[in-house]
Amino acid sequence: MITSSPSPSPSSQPADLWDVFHADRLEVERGLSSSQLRAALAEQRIRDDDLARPAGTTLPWTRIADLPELAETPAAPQQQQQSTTGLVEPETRADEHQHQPEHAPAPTEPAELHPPTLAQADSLALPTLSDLPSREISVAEPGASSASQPLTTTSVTEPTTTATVIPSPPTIQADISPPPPPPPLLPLPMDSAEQRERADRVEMPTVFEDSLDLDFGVEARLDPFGELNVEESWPEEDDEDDDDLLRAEAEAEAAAPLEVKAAAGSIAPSVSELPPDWSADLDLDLDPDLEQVAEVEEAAIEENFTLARSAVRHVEELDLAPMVDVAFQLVLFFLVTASTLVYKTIEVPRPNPDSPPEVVAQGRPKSVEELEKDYILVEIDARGGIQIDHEPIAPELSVLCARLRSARQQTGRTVMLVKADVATKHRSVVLTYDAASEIDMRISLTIPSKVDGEPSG
Amino acid sequence: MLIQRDSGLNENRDEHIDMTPMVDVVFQLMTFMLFSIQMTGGEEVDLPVAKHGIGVEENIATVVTVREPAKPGESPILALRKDKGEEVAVSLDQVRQEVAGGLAKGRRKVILQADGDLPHGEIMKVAATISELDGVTLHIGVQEPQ
Repeated sequence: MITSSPSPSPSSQPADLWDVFHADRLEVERGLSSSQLRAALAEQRIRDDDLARPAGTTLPWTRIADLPELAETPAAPQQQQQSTTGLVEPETRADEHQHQPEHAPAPTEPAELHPPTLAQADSLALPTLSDLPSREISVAEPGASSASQPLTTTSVTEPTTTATVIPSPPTIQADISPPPPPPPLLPLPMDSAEQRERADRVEMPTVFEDSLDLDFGVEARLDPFGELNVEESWPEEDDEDDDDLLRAEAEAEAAAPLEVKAAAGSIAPSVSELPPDWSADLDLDLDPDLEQVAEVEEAAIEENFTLARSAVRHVEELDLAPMVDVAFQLVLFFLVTASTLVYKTIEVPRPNPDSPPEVVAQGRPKSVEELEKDYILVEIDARGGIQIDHEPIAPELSVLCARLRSARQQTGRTVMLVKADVATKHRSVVLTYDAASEIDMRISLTIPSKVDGEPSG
Repeated sequence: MLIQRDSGLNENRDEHIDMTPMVDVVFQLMTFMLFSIQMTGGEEVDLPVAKHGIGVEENIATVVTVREPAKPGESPILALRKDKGEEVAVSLDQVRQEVAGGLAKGRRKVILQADGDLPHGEIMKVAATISELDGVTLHIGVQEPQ
């Protein structure tokens, strides 16, 4: 619920001094008297779209065109002649304001928003810096004026307040008391005539006294593109808490009184002195730092804005099915081309019948004793019994290996001479071959005398 | 704001491998093996057991199989393994001729796949016949100990 603000602290500045904000140059000129202001208006150094407020105060900026006492200059006819250029005539504005209540609902419904005038400021208890919130969007004053009332709201006895957020209208209380007048609309710093016209049409009531739901609010904002966006917003449940918060924030943000300098020229305003930029996304609850951050982010977004379609991000995929097929084909090829059968064999010297008889046959001029000097004689009988150097041993591989190794070490003979009977089984002879292979000993064979088919004697 | 068309790439794409082509290829391999490899009745020759031995590929050697005769007292059966894997009973002269032919083709090795219970004399007889050819190396076929 919007309550009336307490009376502001007395200002040390004269009442006829004004601070003027030049909308075209974005500069603030301070300490102008009313006469100086009127003269500047006449000389076109100050336009009707420029903003003004009492010097040394933090009241919301008001368009000079909305201040009749400043606009009523000797050069007023010039301003009226220039109405075609887009300047707003105060008379026409008065008429518009007079007509607007007609379109507006009954006196019980909220009226248009009017900025406070200098005379009103003298009579009314203007809010102090500690009372006013940081936001400067005004809310229409319900029942403050009617169609018969002029533009000025001199008849209003209750002090006007500058609401902080439009979509937070007052709630209904049990004790039926007239709701406080909402603060006036925030004058927008406009440059073009079109924007000025829109500003005139933006004045919409935000509080409906006799509506079924007084919590319903209408928010009108201008987006950056100059389009009017009307949004209906339902306030939060704790409206009273919001008002308390707003009041607390306003008290917490009490700033030092501004130093009024002589109007030697225009002074570049600081960020806190400039009126807030009207934006659809304006969030008056933000801190200045956060506002700057938001602006930077918006600027970054605008820079990165593009309608070009980004390259399709292809994800590298590897289809394994063809690779498996190729692997199978390779396996098949090598199966067909490669030989898969490998025999395990023991290489033996081929018994050459043309070899020296003293090596091949027994009983030749070279005796066995002579052969025994060069070879390790291994004799195998028909039953499979094995003798090494006429010493019988067990027909086992380990025993043969040990005996052959010792014979080689003792005598230095490195070749084994195998003498087997014709009837000896083939596997017994292979056993000796295996033993010789294990100790890496060469093999020599003797052809049995019965090989030629002659019976053994 | 980017106006971007959905590339259609689904982040949750299925990465399963389709097994159907793999099964088809496996069936093809099995069919090929069935028609190319003859099923034998197992080793009919009881080769002697040896712990040590060297491997000799079939394509570089002439394999001569020596089996026990059907009836005792008869001469052992000599057989030659052809390229298609078939064994043909041959005489000793044919063995020599086969070895000579293989030697001309570059197969210098001769493998004697002889039964372990055969007399040593019979083996030596074949070995002596094969040894008449120069440049031939003789290998006795063995098997791994079980």
